[in-house]
Amino acid sequence: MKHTRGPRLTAVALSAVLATTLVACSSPSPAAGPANQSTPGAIDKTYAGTTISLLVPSWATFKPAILDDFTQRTGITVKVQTVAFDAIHDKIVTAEASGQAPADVIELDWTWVSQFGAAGWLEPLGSYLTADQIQGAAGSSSFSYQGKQIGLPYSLDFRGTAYNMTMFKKAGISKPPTTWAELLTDAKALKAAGVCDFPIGVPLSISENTATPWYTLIRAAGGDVLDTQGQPAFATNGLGERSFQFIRDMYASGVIDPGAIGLSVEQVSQAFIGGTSAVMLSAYPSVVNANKPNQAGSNIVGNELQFVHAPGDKDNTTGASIALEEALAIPAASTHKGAAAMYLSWQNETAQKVAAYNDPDQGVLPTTQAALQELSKNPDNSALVGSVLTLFPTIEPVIPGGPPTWYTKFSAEVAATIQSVALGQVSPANAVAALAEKTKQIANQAK
Amino acid sequence: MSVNGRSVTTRGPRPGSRVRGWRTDRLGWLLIAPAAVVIGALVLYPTVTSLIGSLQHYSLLNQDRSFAGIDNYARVLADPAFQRSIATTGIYFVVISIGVLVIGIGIALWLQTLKGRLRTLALGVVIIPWAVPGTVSGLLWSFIFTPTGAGLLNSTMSSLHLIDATKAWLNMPTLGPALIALTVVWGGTPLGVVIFLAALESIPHDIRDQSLIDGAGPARYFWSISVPLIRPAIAIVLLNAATLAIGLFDQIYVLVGLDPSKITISGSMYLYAFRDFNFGLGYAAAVITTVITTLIAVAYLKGLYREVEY
Repeated sequence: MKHTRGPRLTAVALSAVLATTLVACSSPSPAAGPANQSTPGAIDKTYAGTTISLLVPSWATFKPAILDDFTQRTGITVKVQTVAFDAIHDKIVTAEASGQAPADVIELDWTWVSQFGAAGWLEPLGSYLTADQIQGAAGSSSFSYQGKQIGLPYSLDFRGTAYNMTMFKKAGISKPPTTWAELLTDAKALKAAGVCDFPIGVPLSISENTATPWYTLIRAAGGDVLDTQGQPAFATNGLGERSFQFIRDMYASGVIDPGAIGLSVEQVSQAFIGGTSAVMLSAYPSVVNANKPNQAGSNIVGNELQFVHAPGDKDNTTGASIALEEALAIPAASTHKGAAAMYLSWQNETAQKVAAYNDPDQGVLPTTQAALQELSKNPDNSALVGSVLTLFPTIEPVIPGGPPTWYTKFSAEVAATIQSVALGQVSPANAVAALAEKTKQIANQAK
Repeated sequence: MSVNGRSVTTRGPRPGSRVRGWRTDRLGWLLIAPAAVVIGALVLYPTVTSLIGSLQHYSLLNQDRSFAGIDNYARVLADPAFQRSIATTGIYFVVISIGVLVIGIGIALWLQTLKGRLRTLALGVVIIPWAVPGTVSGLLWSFIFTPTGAGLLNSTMSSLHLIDATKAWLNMPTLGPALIALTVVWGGTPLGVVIFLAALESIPHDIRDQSLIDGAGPARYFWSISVPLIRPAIAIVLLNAATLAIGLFDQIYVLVGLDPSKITISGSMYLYAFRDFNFGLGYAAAVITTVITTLIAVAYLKGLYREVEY
């Protein structure tokens, strides 16, 4: 038998492929589509015969029967590419970096706005939609870049705090806390009464979802995380240090599962609807549906749930509820911008908004008041819509003026800092100072 | 080496090939042309693109594509996050290499003792993890390492009274990366088993018989005869383990997200390009990764690979 040296070159070559193909790409010139040939906001047959593509997550994917309505009214065929949310960003970047439109209509998360805007990848929607459509969508200001609207929000997602009042009442507590101190006291009482081992659910792993509760706390207490210039407001308003201290106190007193440093937000949510925690500190509105009959995975069907304003600091309990919305956008390189805009107008209608909420595979809360009012006519939705309408006036962007282009790097530093603070590896005061310095460094590097 | 008069040789790489004329080699060139085209498109083009991009200011946030010299390389190498990812990759590299090598040879030796359908069945079972995609593997292992009482490892150790409180295993500074590496060992070992088994099976039986007659026990036979003769297989398996470690991304992403203390240099490359939109830095990190991978490959092949003739 003879072993030859043939695999050697192949092995070396393959290793080079592994290492280099990840970021290799070409840069052909972007394609330009025709200008809008229809009236802004119109839904008509101007683009009949056109086929448009969508790149969206499952919760933005209408059932074919619903989409048929769009095709019948416009003559436009829709091809939907449903992709896991985590994969959409990279698909968009890969396509756009090579000058191609990833689809005619794409998902746009609020955290991507400044980067996609700065890269010039998205078509301003001003000439395609009416002012009423844009301004009537809650949180639309989060999708404006340098004064141009580049996304139309379709999913009303914001953060409050969810409480299982059935569990609270077992500990003799009759109303939700309004301050961080009250929440800590109540959580200790729940633990002492044996209602649950770890009353407060909050992720502390190093991910965007760990930064979110911190933003929730600071904004609910009336402060800013970053100011409009991208400067670390958390370091000067005192809320950065006090919120870090609160997180440390929660962890040190055992009201948070020590395993939270490795938990995702999905696992924290499961703990809440599974009945093993009584509080979801930074919760999404529809978590209150976990008490409805036939809710898969829920052990708290029939429990009294409340979704209310997140607790604030002692001086301010009426700050903002942070918006974490998602929008639909049209790539500048799309060759069917007019038809794509018509789709945006169509999905923004009340009938489609209500259908999207009622479809269990979507379940997205509508961004328009009209659709919320329509939903509230169903008694099954009264608790959820009531909570949403109560908090509606407090919904604001996480960062006034939108996130900077270096936001994702900043949020990674925030998450790492929060975990270190929770574990007691760094004091809240030192953590704030270090994070502020790091923030300035990141901002300077991005210039 | 000679075993009971039978010639067994292991030797280093040939110093060079015999020079042949174009006419003689024409058929050979034609035969390798398709492969050369594919390799050129999939290897040379991205390599050259990466090299060029690594020397440019190349951010997706602006149109500046000016010459940057070695600035991108200097920034990447000075970046503490990249330095940390190199150290973490080192942990993955060591654990995966040792794990795949030791467990792979161990299982291959065990399979050698089985006969007929039993061996086929056992081999089929051993190969299963190889067929599991990295993301699915990550999900499976996440159920084991879940940091609450619901995690299989925590619940098992608690029930055995080995721990008094649940542990966030993957968050431990050194143990975390080592455990992630173990999940890769689980998926990467089957290929090693197949390669080792093929190499062990290719050793003529009469060599083993004669060594036994000479009084060599199993351990002596393994270290003095088997290991030298399967050195090419060891080199290939270790090289594969190295590329697994350096390119590790899926399992990490599923298990701990983009935790900077757990990502490899491939993860850093991803962050530069897709999070920071700085393809210049991403390209530079890719080239550095290529150089590291190539050096490891050359070291393995030079140090371990030997032609074997019976």
